[in-house]
Amino acid sequence: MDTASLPMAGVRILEFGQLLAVPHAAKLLCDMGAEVIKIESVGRLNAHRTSSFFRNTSEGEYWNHAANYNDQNRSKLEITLDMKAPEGIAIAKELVKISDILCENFSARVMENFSLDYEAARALRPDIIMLSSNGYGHTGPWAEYVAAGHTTESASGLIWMSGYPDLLPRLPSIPYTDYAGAMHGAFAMMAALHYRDLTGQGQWIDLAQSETGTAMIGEAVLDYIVNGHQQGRMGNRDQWKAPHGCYPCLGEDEWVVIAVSSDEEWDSLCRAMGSPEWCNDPKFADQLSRYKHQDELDGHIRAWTAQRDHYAAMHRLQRAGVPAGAVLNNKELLLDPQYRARGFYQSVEHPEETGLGTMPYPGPPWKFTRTPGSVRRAAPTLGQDNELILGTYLGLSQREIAALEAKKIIGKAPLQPSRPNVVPLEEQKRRGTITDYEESPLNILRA
Amino acid sequence: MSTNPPGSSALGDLRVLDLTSFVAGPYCTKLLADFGAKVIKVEPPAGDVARRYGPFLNDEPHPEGSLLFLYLNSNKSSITLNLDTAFGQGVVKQLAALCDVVVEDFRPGTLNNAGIGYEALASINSKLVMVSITPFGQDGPYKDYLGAEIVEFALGGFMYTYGEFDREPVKHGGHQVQYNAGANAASAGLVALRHQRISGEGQHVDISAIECQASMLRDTTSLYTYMGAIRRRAVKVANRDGRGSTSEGQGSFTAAKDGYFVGGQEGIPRRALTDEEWTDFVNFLGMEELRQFDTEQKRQEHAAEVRNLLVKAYGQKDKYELVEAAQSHHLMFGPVETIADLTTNPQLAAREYFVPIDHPHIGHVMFPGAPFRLTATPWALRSTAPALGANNRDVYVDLLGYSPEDLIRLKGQGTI
Repeated sequence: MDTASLPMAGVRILEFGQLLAVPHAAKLLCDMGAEVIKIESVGRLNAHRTSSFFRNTSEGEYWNHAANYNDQNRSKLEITLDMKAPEGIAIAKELVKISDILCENFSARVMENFSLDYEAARALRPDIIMLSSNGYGHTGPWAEYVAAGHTTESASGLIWMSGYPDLLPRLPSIPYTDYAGAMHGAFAMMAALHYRDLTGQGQWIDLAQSETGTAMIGEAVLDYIVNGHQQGRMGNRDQWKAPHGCYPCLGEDEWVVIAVSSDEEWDSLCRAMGSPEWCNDPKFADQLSRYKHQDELDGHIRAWTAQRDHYAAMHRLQRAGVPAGAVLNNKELLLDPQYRARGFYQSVEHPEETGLGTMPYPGPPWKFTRTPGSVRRAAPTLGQDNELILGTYLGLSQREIAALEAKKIIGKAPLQPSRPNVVPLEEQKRRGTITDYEESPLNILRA
Repeated sequence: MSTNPPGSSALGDLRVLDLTSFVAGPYCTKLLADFGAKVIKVEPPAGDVARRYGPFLNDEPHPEGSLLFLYLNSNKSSITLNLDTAFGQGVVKQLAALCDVVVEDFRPGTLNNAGIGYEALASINSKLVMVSITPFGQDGPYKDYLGAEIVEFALGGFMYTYGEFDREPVKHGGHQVQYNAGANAASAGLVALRHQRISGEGQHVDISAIECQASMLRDTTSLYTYMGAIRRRAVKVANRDGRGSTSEGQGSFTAAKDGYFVGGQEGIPRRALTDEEWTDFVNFLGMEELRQFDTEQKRQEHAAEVRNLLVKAYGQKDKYELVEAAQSHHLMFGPVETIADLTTNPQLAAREYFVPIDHPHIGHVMFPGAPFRLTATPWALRSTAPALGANNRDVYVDLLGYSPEDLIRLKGQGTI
């Protein structure tokens, strides 16, 4: 765990992160060498500890077997604190004093109730940087609204442009604006840190996840403001490129996308398909005409893709000079030669008692040539670093730590374990949340 | 809240050489520029491709009328330069010597072949951070493949999970993959700059758009590693009028009088309401038929009838009102905003999200402002997107010492 040579070495981030929006932001910086101390609770488990379990079973210490949690929190340290107790709050305050950045995505008033809002945190640590991330921002009439990815993306405007043209907007199955908030949150923390390193001054960052979604459709917003045009859903089509779409392939639920933007790419596409007669149809002679006749054009392309598997179609088209890509599912991502060649998925060993063994996770998306970041350690088990943080960082004696444990201020197991229900994979397959499942996935990946 | 002088910016000491075009690179340098960095944007003599990409002012294609370009290039300077010429390559070296960061988005190997790749520029400025943004990264078997928004969305793994179970996977709106890669690149650049400040060492940062996608799939890949499950799109059920649920059962939009809202299970609160909360909610909805279901048990027993009445009642109320009433009981309801709604949205208005700009070609319009509030060193609009080559004189004459006559010659040669 030597981080001394990493770019974020020496930066300590204290994280009160729920679900994704702040945990992902802290994870990005943690992989690059920041030390992240995550504060959790044994009274109320983080929701990510209560779903997607190893081998789909919630038996045993399920809270340490959850994929969601273990993915978002790798490389971090963790302490459990009962923030309803004055002792818990007092310890959190001591941790603020030794931290550079405090980040949280609670709903309104929670940090205030802990006496850890920005003004209070700043009194403890004058140059503290604090990121507060919520659904709609910390001022205005919606400041106290409870929110999650599906509501903030709906409020951002992005959703109005997303999905099939013939249906209402379609929310993604991944909470996208949580990630938009996380990426902008990481940038905001870095910008504030840059300024603090130069001037010694910290500051408060007020981040609205919905606004970060809006920031990513700026051109569409301006199209309405300037021209009065309301952009709707184009599905898989483009403003001017054609053919442009997602085409079925040979295998079950296999697809390839193609995006042709010039006559040159069109010629390449025709050659790659073996120059069929229909390519010479005058309707497809130029880009504008192809755009206008794309329903018919798509039919021809579908007939060609339907006889190939998605990877074969992609490689053939790309080698001919046509932008194309297989639509990869989660297993294919892990096996894909591009991700493998670049070592994107990185394996870490989990503590023995978890039984998880060595597990691969998506690595840092930023490839540094001189000081590469990495997944340094498996996500902490509940309260894994209580002793380290209280003893080594805050100088508490073993007796004091034992007393906190006896009073249930800290702990390593939920106070009220309640085994979450798990839907058997066969039933999930019937419902359609998954396509299929396989035994021994790790052996398949290793093969 | 702060003792900083007004007008302080977080990144005011940074100088950035921007060799990017379209969306991903420009969004990266926009974030840097909007928080104070001095960004010199190098455009080919024909201009950034975004200048030829809509939407356009009045739907008229014009190099200064692209709203995509307008949005992505605030606070930057623009010079024109042909990087295929020896002069162009020399200027890049001169500017790289003066900058902290170079951001580029050429296909892998292009700058190396032109003698202005990372190694060449680092030999001039060893502290230089170079951030390269490409669809698939600088190496690997796909490095020379062609990217496009939908192609990267597919290969990044997001697309397979997006859409109806039995239809084709569908793209997210706009240029999300590009914005994502840009935001990641901006953060990564600042991380590399921190290392530079501390160690004096620069480095090359390699951002792959598909890896940025694959890093934001929540537990999607772990579902395979943990339980061998292949995750597909939304569930097979609940697909009426496109109001199907996502795999979380949270994707349903419910009609209000003036649009849609999202919340509960297709508008039905997800938790049991207390009797008082129910009375309160019924009072707000003003639908007397609902009042008889005054216990959770009755509501469960008559679930279908309650649901139909609620949906009917929702249709009589404005979405903001409805959301406010639900939120007063901490029910997670939220409005579904069209693009038009954003311009009158009360929350954005209260937060002064839009700021007025005056652009010589586009005129006086409102402009999307801060993506987040850095309270001591706020987002600020110092200048709108530059005209093509607007800063040629500042850079070539004032900064690099060429004469005004040289400028005319270079223009005539098509070099700038």
